[in-house]
Amino acid sequence: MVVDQTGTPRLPFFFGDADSPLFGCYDHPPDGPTRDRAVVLCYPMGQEYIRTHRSFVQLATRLARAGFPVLRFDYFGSGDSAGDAEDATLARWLADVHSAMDEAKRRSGRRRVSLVGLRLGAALAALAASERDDVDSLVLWAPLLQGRSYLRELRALQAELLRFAYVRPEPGTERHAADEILGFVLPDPLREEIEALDLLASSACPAREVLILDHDTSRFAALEQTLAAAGAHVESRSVPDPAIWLAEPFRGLVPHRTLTCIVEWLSRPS
Amino acid sequence: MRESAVLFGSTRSLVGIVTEPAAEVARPDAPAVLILNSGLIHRVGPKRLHVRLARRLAGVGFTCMRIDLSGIGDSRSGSSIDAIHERWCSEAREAMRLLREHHGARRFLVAGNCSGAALSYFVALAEPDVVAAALINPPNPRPLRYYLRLALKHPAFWRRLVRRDQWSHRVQKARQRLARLNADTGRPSATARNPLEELRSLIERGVHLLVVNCEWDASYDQFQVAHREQLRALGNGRIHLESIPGSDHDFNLVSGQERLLDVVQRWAASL
Repeated sequence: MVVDQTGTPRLPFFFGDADSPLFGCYDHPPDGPTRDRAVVLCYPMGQEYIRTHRSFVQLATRLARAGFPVLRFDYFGSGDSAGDAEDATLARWLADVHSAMDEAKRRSGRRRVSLVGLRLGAALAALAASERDDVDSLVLWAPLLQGRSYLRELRALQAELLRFAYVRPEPGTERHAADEILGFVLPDPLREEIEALDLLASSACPAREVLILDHDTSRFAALEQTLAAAGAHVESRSVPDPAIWLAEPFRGLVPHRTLTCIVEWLSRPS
Repeated sequence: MRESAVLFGSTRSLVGIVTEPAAEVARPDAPAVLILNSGLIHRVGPKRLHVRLARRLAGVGFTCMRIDLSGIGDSRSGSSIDAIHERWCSEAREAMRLLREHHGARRFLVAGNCSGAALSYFVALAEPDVVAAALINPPNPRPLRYYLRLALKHPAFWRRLVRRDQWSHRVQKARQRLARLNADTGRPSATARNPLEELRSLIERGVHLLVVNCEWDASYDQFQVAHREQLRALGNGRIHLESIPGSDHDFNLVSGQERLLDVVQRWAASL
């Protein structure tokens, strides 16, 4: 690992199955880890991933400066990881989150992890955390609650794109264009899995401490209740930042208040 | 095919992904491909196009490297006091050095979309080992004819015009354009350059150019309409012009993405 001029070492690497490796980026605290946990960041999918990458880099840098070893990673068929988007499934992505957590523990030498996920990444983080007992804390940033409404939202965005963007599907391909999501294919198996996703239906406790973050957390009251009933200590914070997953990358938006809130919450004494 | 993540540059603070072809398809004589960022999008490219392009080209024997320039993606902000244009040109040179030292590259093909196309062009001008450049939707001022074409041929033009929530966006974009006019990026301004002479020097050097324009991008009017014949005559077979029908600047349709990958692969394979 090489320390650069900013003093925060960053290591890009591939890990996992040699036939279909995942890309990860590991940020290491400049003076060595001072925390007892590693943090794994879970991106959203598709165009939301492209739009939010810059903010995740910033978040990783800030967490590393606060003493956390941090791993960001790309799901199979997305970003720099192996595979094509056509072959992606939610089951595979869930396995990828587990694989990333194991990798973060191995690299950092820590036995516990915290997870931070945005949108679909938040749902994946919650599901993965429910399946293991080494997740201390979980940050659900604008999580999707029910896959069905998430898909409805994506379809509306695609319809808007077809109406307002300077594109013109070739004759005979209009149906395919309507099924895409902002320039990304959404294969049927993944679509069906997302449709069946329901965070409110889970009775498992994903982590001892859960933070729900959004510009308006009042819409997550049901999730708060579900998690509390499962035994988690849940905190909700409304942060008036823009929805960066809707803003194109050229705008370079980074939600500083949200990132500060995440770093402070994870850094507080447990 | 094999992919590896690398740190490069004088302080090893820049991030790149090298995609190497499988031994059975490798073409040691082929130029190594360097793919530059498109705007602020990290090295995966718009709609992950750079990843797919690198894998496609590696599938037919090219070694490819996708990089994050300083301040973009996973690369750190540069500490150099050079203007951003000079800094990025020098970072592209650093990537070429890595490809030379670790992958035996002697010649290069540089490729980029939007601002990446502009940078590819300047790198091709400055680096004698660059033998080909793929310029996808090169940025250029939007001519009046572009707006006329949109108004006459695309209903989205009128839909956007009457959409109230677009106005604040337009004001913001106009502000950004003004700020860009005032910012000194160090990129040679169009008025201080002689593009015809630049192109002539590239052609005389034997550089092959591919210019790809999406049908609904403003660069289409400049390259495919206004200067098409002039470029063909000047290029003497070395300037290849292609367009992507139905697509916008951001490749928002998957069909347009596939067509772009086909076009670049076919052209690269023919070099």
